[in-house]
Amino acid sequence: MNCKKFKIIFNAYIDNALTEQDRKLFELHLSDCAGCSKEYAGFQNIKQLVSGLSRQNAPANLENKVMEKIQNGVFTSNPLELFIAAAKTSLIAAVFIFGIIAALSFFTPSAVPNSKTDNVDAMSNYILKGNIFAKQNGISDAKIMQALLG
Amino acid sequence: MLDDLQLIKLAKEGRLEAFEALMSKYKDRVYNIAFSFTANHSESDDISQNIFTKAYFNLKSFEEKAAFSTWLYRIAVNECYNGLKKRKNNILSLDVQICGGENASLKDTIEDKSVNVEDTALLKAMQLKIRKAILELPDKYRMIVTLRDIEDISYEEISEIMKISQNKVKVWLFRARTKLKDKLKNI
Ligand SMILES: [Zn+2]
Repeated sequence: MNCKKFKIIFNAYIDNALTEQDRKLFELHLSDCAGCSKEYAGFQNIKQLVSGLSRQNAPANLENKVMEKIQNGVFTSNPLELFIAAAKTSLIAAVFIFGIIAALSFFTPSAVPNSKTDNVDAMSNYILKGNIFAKQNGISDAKIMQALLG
Repeated sequence: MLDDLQLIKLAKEGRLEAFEALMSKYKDRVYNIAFSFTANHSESDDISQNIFTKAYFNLKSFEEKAAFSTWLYRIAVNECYNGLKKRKNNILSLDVQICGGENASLKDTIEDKSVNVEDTALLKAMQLKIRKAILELPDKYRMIVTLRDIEDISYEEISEIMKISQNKVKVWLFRARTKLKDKLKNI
């Protein structure tokens, strides 16, 4: 293997993602090649610096804030969606009031829609939005590898 | 102690305390992803709240084919990006109020570089430099470094979370680290 091919596996080596055989080949090359050895040290340093950043803990009241949103049925901060949610709530209120009036007039009230169920329906396509990365990257893996290897 | 799948089953049945237990288990990990991506506490707080709120309202769409963490991290990735879209000019501001606890683990990293480890100001400056360098990376590279180096997630799981091939995981990681190496060459 030449240096270019080793460079591509620097990271896999750092991340312990190489097969035993490749790992040995890599180590053998490092011990023999000052250039790769120096460059590898640079990558290893970066990995250490980044993973050395200590963890940031979530605020203690995070659960409470989320539970509040869940109980209020708030699931979005998009103004348009909030407006639609508010409109739905108003509609439900209207239906409800109509129901009471109807009941008072000795009519059987119609079923009141469940706002929570509606929210889940509205959100069901959230996860299915698809791959943001695939959309912004029309380039195939093979081409990237090719570009990277020169 | 109930496992994730048992908690999800209960949460799907409407038991809110089961979802709260899931949240308590994952909130620090989720927050840490958001913080690595934004370097800003208030943004991370907002994003984390959105992640869990959306997870709750989408719980029905979670099929037990993947691990709950993979599914949750995928929402986290999407929400980090959504947070970015809402922000004016997509410019992130580095939060200088990064808590002091960070210094302890960085000490080990630079101990062998004959730096006076008692010099907390220096350590603080150093961690800010690293955060800043991460923040300057293109979004996808910042995310991949976050998942791999901050969260220690495997190539395989990253490829599921980000919906990219493992090959691409490797290539993006290579590019991300190369850029960081360049930005941090004086450390
Ligand atoms: Zn070499």
